[in-house]
Amino acid sequence: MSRAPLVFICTCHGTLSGALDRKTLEKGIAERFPDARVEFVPSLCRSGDLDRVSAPAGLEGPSGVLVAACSPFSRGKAVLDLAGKRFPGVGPELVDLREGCAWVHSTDPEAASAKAVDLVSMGLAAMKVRKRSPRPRIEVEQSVLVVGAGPAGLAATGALARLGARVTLVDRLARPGGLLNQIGKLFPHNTSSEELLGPLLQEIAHPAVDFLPKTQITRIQGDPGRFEAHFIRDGQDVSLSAGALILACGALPVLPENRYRSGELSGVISQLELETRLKKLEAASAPPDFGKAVFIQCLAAREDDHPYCSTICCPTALKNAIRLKSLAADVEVTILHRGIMTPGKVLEELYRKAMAAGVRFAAYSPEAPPEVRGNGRLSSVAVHDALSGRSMEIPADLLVLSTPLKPRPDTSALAAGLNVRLDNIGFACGCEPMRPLAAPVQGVFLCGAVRWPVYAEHAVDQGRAAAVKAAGFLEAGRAGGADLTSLALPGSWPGAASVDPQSCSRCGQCIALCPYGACRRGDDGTARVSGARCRGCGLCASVCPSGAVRVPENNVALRAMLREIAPRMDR
Amino acid sequence: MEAPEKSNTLPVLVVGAGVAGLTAALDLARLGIPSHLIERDGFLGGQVMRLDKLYPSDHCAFCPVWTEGAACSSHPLVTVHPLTSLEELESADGRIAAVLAERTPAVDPDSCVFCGLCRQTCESKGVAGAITLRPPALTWDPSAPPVPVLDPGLCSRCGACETVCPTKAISPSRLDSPAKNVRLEVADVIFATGFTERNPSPVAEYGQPDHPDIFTALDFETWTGEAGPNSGAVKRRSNGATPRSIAFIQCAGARDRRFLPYCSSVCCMHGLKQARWIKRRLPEASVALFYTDLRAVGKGYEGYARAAAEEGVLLVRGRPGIVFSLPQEGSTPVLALRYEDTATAKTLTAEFDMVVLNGGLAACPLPGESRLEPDRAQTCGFCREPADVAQAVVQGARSAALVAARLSAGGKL
Repeated sequence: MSRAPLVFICTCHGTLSGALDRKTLEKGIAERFPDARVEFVPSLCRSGDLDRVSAPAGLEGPSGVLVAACSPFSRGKAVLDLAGKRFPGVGPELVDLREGCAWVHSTDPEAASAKAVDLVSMGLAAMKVRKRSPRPRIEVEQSVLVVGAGPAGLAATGALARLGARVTLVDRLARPGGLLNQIGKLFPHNTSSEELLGPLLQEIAHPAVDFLPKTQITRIQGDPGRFEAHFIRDGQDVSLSAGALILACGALPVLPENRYRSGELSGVISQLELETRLKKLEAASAPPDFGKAVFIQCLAAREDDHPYCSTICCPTALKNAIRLKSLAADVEVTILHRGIMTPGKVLEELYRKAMAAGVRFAAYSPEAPPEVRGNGRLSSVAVHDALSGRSMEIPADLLVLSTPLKPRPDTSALAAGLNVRLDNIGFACGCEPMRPLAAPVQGVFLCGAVRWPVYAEHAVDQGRAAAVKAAGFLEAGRAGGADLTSLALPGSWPGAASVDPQSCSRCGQCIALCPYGACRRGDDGTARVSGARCRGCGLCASVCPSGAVRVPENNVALRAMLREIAPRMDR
Repeated sequence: MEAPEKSNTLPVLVVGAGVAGLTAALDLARLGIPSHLIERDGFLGGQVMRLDKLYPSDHCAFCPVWTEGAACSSHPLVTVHPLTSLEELESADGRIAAVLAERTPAVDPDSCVFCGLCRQTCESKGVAGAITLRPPALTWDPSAPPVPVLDPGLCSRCGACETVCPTKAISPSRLDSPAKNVRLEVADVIFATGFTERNPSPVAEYGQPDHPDIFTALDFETWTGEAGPNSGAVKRRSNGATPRSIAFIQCAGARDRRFLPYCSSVCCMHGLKQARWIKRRLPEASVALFYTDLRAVGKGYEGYARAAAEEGVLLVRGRPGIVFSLPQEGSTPVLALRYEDTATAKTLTAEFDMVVLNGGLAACPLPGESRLEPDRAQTCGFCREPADVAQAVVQGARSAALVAARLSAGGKL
């Protein structure tokens, strides 16, 4: 009794007979793989056709099954599924003889048949050497660490607790709420920050949530399923482990420094300071102690040194202008801008509302920025309005400077340990565009201003979105360890890389290149691959000068396939 | 995590399989919550599948979205209903019933092998154009082999195609069969119905709607796309010539009280993306983009806009007042547009070979949403608030989180 590979060639209801010559195929395959059994079947995608094939005599079972049919993008995937059911445990493989062969070479049947022989031979050669690497199942601790207790982190924590996860929430400060604690009213719906924070704080008052205030994260290491975080708390080093991580560590407001004579003239303040003043005025229902306010947008933003728009400054200015107008309708507010950035429906409404409230606008160009005039005390702002083409001098007793959010300097250290990439500004990147809140390493998620400046309501949305992703990761690992393939496209797992320590030259190129931090140096200096982090991309194998890295799907099978056609590649 | 009670969880209805709906269904499935994902069209991925490239990465739009779609359709907890629309939602005593209308296509996509015999037979019978093999770009799914589509008006119902079809996939009689109504009891509903682009553009002053060289933005994406009819070559639709100049008009039908008062949010970046790609393919052509406010506010978007300017895309602040044809003897008329450059306060006229109208994306309705308790219905993606891909997938995941939290804890978020 022997075991031989079995090849099914689908003639697609006879429609391929014109292009593919049966005799050429049978002869060509037999020459290169004498032990292979070849069966022609009219329609492999129709269930039942495979069942009618009786097991060839003298075979105890095929060593492998190759189905030569159509592209996986048409019926190929269905064919594979049927073959998998007919021959369980074999792991059938697919070769495309229709779209990629018979159809494109329909005018040259001889070439099509010769190519079909090559394609089937390559499939058989690959099948022979391909070792299905065991799919790594990793233990996943059923807990999540959320870093940062701003609106995003609070929302993520609350949602996770409701989804049944254990959560540890840490923040540098004593009071949760992040930047919202400095802000009175929020756009676009003019809710107070207390109204937004209140329900979130209630959500985290949950038995499954452990909130650690005044805790500074120093580093995070470990692998998906078991990350280890180290902190300083009350002057002491503490550590804890968690199955998944959510980074919600926010961003920092930029200070105006000395721009537009701030710090020199009285009456020049930042937008954040106006927030504080407005909060007090609104609490006392008192009219403002100034009559003419000018706002300047895009300070330290959309400039060569700061080439980004911080998203939130235009709506913030509109919101505060409307607040000033509703405290005292006779306050004059002029916003000097470089385009009002209010994309979407609700923000555009805010813009219209500001115009209806009597807020004035003038557009300046970066080449001719507004000029602040005054002696000791602010007196006016001169600007050339690009829209009307007129230069004007606007009397002012308050100048408000809108500044962007910038990345926190400590984000980069945290990100580096987790293979989270930073963009050119320094904000963290997810896997754009379809998984913007997921880092390349499984089990690490981002939300809020750590990724990009975002307004409070969207930060809450992102927190909940990140929570459902983290909960999904935990759920995948709940019963007996996570099959990482369940998080990717089923069947797409190419196998984790491995390193042969005998051939490894210790050059470290794979370690530098791996986007997932999966390649590391072992105690003896050779490279090792973490199965939990590896995504099977094969970059390590491509860069290894000594051929020590093995990725089952990529290099071994591919080489076997190329060897199969190498003698004919000169043609 | 503790085991949530799943055995008695009713499925969630997800309306629309664009990027937001796909994300919502998949995130629910990963938590063990079943869903029915219904889609008006015959493929997954929604409007994004019409895009050649995504901003700001300039990566192909198709692969990442197709991957999510494939993960969804192969997940045992997601039941995908293509060619299905939501007819009615009934809500009583806390129970929600959805009535779906499932259309049966004349060609069963699951058994068609794309051999083309039906069309050959149809043509030999002398019925021209009744069966067309839709090129991939027009089915919006670049991976799909050409699919036979029956035109109900031209088909004579002779049945010859049915006789010749090797898999009995085609049946002209199905053209006349009514949609099948299916009734489902569902736990909650997630609306992800997306947007539509009005084509032709409703803005009358921007030229005759049938002018071959005036495009809407999505139309232009297909026309110039690498998977499109010209395989990525940029040609005039009127005479096939390479255009010397192309104008992109932003906010055409948006931020305009006559049409859509709001900003569609995605068009500035979409226009910049198209302008950059045209400039790369036709470095000699003059490419101008007319904008109101250049709203490049997302992650990496400002840098993208700066790069467009550096690469030679002319960014003009101003909304053209009128687009008109200049009659020229012996060749295709050239288009002209009159505009005020509001950065210099000058009124000018410029000639262009092609004009792309960008803007005015209308949110699709949410059928029956008002009949549901607010905590039983979530909306995500463009139908909630103008959103690009990154925003829509966040919204989809957020909807899944809210529904899952309500189902597993019986509480509200």
